[in-house]
Amino acid sequence: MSGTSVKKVVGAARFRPTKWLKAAGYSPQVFVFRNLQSGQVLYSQLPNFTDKQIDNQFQRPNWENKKPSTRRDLWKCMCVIDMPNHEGSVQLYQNLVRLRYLRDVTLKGDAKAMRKKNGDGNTWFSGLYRPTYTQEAVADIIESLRKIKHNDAEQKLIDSDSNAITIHWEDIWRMGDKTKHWDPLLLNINHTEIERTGNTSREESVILKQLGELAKQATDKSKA
Amino acid sequence: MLAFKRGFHNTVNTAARTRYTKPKPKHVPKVIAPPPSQVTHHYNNLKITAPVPPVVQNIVCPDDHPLWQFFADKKFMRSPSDVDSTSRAWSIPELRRKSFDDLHSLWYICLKERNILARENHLLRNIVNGNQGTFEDVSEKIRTTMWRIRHVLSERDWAFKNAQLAFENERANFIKEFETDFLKMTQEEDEVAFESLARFQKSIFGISEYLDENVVDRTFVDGLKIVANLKLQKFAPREEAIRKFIDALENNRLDDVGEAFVIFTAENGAKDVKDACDAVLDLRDSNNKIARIDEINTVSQYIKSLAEVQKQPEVENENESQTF
Amino acid sequence: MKATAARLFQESPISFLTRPWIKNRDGTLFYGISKTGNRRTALTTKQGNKTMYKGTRSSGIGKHTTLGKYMIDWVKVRTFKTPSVMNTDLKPLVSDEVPELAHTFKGYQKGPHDTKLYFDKLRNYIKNGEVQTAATDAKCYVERG
Repeated sequence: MSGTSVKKVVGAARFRPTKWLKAAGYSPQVFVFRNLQSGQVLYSQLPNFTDKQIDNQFQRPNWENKKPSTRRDLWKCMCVIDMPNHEGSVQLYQNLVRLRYLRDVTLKGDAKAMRKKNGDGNTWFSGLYRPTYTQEAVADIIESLRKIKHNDAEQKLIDSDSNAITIHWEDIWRMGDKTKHWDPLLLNINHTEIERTGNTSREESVILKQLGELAKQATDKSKA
Repeated sequence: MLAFKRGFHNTVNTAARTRYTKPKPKHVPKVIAPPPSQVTHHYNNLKITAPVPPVVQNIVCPDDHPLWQFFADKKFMRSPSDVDSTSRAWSIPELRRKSFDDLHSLWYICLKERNILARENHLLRNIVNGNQGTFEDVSEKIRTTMWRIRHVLSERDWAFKNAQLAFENERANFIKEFETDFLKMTQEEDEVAFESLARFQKSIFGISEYLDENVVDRTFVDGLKIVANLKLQKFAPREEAIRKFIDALENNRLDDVGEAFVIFTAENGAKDVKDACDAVLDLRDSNNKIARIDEINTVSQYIKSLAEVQKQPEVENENESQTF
Repeated sequence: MKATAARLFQESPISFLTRPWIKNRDGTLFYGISKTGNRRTALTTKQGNKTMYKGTRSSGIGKHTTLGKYMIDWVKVRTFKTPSVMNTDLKPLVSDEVPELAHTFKGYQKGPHDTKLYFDKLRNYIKNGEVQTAATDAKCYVERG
């Protein structure tokens, strides 16, 4: 141990299985954060994140996809996905992280081919901002939710016929064309917008906490 | 080399067989499942898909969006002919007629309008490349209104401060003038007279009719005495008892605060004032004269307890008079 | 060429008077519009010597602590108080068809600041209470004040 500093592992720093989430009293949710400067996206099981997650989800940093900073003022919640149960939320998180790995490492070239390019043949950017990362995150959310629903028909992991999946968007503009991208693959998903009155950046932690409470109430009601 | 197989220490037990025991089930090695982690339990049929671009159709601007306050009639930009360029700024005398709240509102209305005009003027200069001065002219007129509002407020403040300073010399004269006017009024005009007395005590001594909102200080106490004396003098010609009460006083004036308070709180009627005088005479026997230094404290205590009594409507008036 | 004495400068040729300032053929100065430059622009934060400080009227709302934090003194923070009851009937401008109201202050030397005027108003209030003055008449354009 001498010479190496050991980081204390707290909260969102490590992967949390369903048992832990239930015991800690978290609702079945997945939180998606967006970097305001670069447009990169971070997935989290808890309403916060740590540098560990950034290390884990940006494994191949390069000049276009730099490892983002941990500055909390640069990250803003992009959306919160309410799942019907903890198994579903953990599965979704695992799928999202896997898709990120596929895009960054395994299928790097395919991912790059699908991005919009500028005149020089690089990923389109303006300053430090690359809108493609946010758009890819939306595509990944659609893909993993779809696969969960598809696999579910056999596994009965979550009730596929219930309307229990809800996505709370920070800005509903970002979800893309509903008829084109969402409806053909994923019916019965509720999209809502997080209320924007007041200083939403300053009160984000409170807003996320409230969303968690609401989700918990909703699941309690459906169980009863 | 020794060639024998050595078993574990429990091998003997598991392998032991007697006639009476069934053969034990074969030992199945335990399957140790890996602990769930982020990389172990994802699906293997995931595919990466094309990015989903955002669409404008999802954006719905609410009608009460706060930024609409920067737009006139929800238009990107008014044409210079639509702007009311003939109207003039508020004049100072017009503003002098307005209350503080009105001037405060008008200030913010002007400010909002100037914000709209500044935005439109900026567009005109930088986007449309126009050079008309309409927006600027109107904005300048509103600026005039705004400085005039400040002028009127400062004028009002100075007038009040000057008047307060000058009132120190004027006070005695002012009170005497009111006294003569007040006492001159006949019995038929009683209602008018006592209304003006209420305004007088409010504006000169700050004695409000709502007792609990009063702040007790020296002026309040002095005013209390003056008002009580005025009341006595008003009803003296009508009631023999009150006249006698006044004649018995030193200099014909009531000077004790406790006594003055009883008269002050009495209803405005000859009989009520007479009852108050009787109560004062009763209390006087117990000889509890209040020193000048204690006056403010005592009066504030009186007022506090009176306000408490007034809050409970069930308590009868008799109890109220007994407390003092 | 010898420099002309200051007393006789009017006798010196014009080209000599404007010597350092070379002109274009059409008579305009080749380096700009005026000889003196524009001395009427506002001082910026970058000008002046080391003691010059031009703030943005946005700082100085608290104190730095010894631990390197900044404690905000909320009394010093600018606040904007809006009216509790907004009178939305008012407009920022008045129609030009309405003649301007005039205050005469007849008999009061110091006009609106005159204490006598204040006392008279007070006397009037005590006597009559809040009554409608001539000012409430829409046709009244000259009043005492």
